[in-house]
Amino acid sequence: MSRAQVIRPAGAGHETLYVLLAALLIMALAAGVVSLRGEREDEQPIAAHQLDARRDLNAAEQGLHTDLWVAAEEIRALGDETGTAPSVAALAEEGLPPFAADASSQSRGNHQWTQLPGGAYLGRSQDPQVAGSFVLIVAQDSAAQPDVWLRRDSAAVTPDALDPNTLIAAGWQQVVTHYDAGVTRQHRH
Amino acid sequence: MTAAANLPLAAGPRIEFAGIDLTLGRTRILENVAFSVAPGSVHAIVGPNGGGKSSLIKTLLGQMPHQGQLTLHWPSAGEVIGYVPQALEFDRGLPMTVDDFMAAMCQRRPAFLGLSQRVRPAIDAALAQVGMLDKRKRRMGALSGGERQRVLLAQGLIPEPQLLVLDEPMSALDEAGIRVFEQLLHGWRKAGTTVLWIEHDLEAVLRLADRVTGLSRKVLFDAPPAEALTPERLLGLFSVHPRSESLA
Repeated sequence: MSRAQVIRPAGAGHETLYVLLAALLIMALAAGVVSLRGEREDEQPIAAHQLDARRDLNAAEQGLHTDLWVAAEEIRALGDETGTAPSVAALAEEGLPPFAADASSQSRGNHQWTQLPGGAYLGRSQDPQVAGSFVLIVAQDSAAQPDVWLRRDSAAVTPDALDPNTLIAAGWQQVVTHYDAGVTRQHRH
Repeated sequence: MTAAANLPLAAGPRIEFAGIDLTLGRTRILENVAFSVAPGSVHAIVGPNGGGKSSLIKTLLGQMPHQGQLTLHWPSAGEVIGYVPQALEFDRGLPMTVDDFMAAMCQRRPAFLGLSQRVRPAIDAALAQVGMLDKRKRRMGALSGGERQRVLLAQGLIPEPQLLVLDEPMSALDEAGIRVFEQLLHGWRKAGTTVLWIEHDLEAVLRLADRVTGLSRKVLFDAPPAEALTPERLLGLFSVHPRSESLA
C-alpha cells in the first residue's frame, strides 16, 4: 500500500494551459460556426447606366440627391392635396430645397428647375463643374422610391420621354442607392 | 520515546525534503533545505521570524512554487493531512458559531443546514477532546484567542489525519489549552501519526519533540532536541547573521 507522493510546485502553469486550451476551443467553435453558417454579402454590382449615390456623386450632388428624396415626398403629399403636381414656383414658395433659391442652391450649381409632364422635374445645372443636371421623377405610388437621374455634361436638354431607355439613350444616368456591408447607417426620409 | 520505537506501527508518512529552494519575487526564502521527517515522529521546526518556517509548511501543502524534490512516503491507504494554522481572525459580529465553523470545515453539506449526522459524532468527540463542547454555540468572534486556537486544533482532528501540520499551535493557547495540546500530542504519537510542528517555545520542543530542525533560510541543524538545543546552536540560530553555524 506504500505510495510516494511528490508535492508539485504550485504555479499557474496548468491553469494557463487550460485557459489557453479553452480559448482555442472557443475560437475553433466560433470559426466553425462562422464558416458553416456565415453568408457572404458582396458588393452589389450596379449597371453601366447607373451611379452609386454614395460613391459616385460629389458633395454638391449628394446634397441635391438627398434634398430631392425629401422633396419627392412633399411633392407627392401636395399632389394628393390639390390633385395636380405642384409647380416649381409653388415648391420654391414653400421654401423646399432644392427648388428654393437660397445660398445652398447657389453653391450647388444654381440649378434652374422646370416642371416636365408626367410628374417630373428637371434641374439644369448652371455650373456643370460643381454638379450635374438632375431629373426627378415622382412616382404616383407612395410606396415607390423617387427616381433620380443625373447628367453631367452641359448639354442637358429636356428629355423626350421619361422611360429609362430614352433617358439612357440621351446620356442620363440613374442614381441608385443600395444597402450593403459598406453602409453604417441609413436614413430613410 | 524515539522515532525508531514508533516505526513498526507508524501510520503516518515519511517526509523527504531534498534540496528545496524557494524564491518569491527576488527574496530567497528557502535555500537548499534538505532533511527528512521520520514516520510517526513528532518533528519540530524552530527558527527566527522570517526564517521560512511557515513557507516550508506551505510548500509541503503544495501552495508554493518551490524547486527541488519534496516527497511524502505514505505507508498505508489513509492519506489524510491535517493542518492547524497559526491563528485565524474572525469579526466579533460574524454570526458563525463553533458548530458552524466545524461544519464548514468537516462536511460537504452547507454549514447553514446544520451538522450532518455522519460527522456529528466525530465533531462532538473532537470538541470534547479540546474541551470546547460546552461552548459550541458561541460565535467564533466572541471566543478568546486560546479558545479559538482549540477549535482550530479540533478541526485538524477530523477526519483522523495520518500527517498533522501544526503552525505554532501553542502561541495562542492558554495554560489549559497547552495541557490539552500535550495530551493530543501523546495521542498522535501513540497512533503513529507524523507530526510536523513549528514552535517558538524551545522548552516545549525539548520536552515533546523527537527531533528538531533549526531553520533560518537554510537548515542550520537537524538532530534530537537534547543534542540540538544547546546554547551555542541557539545563539547561532537566532542571531542576525545565522550563516556561521554549519550543518549539524
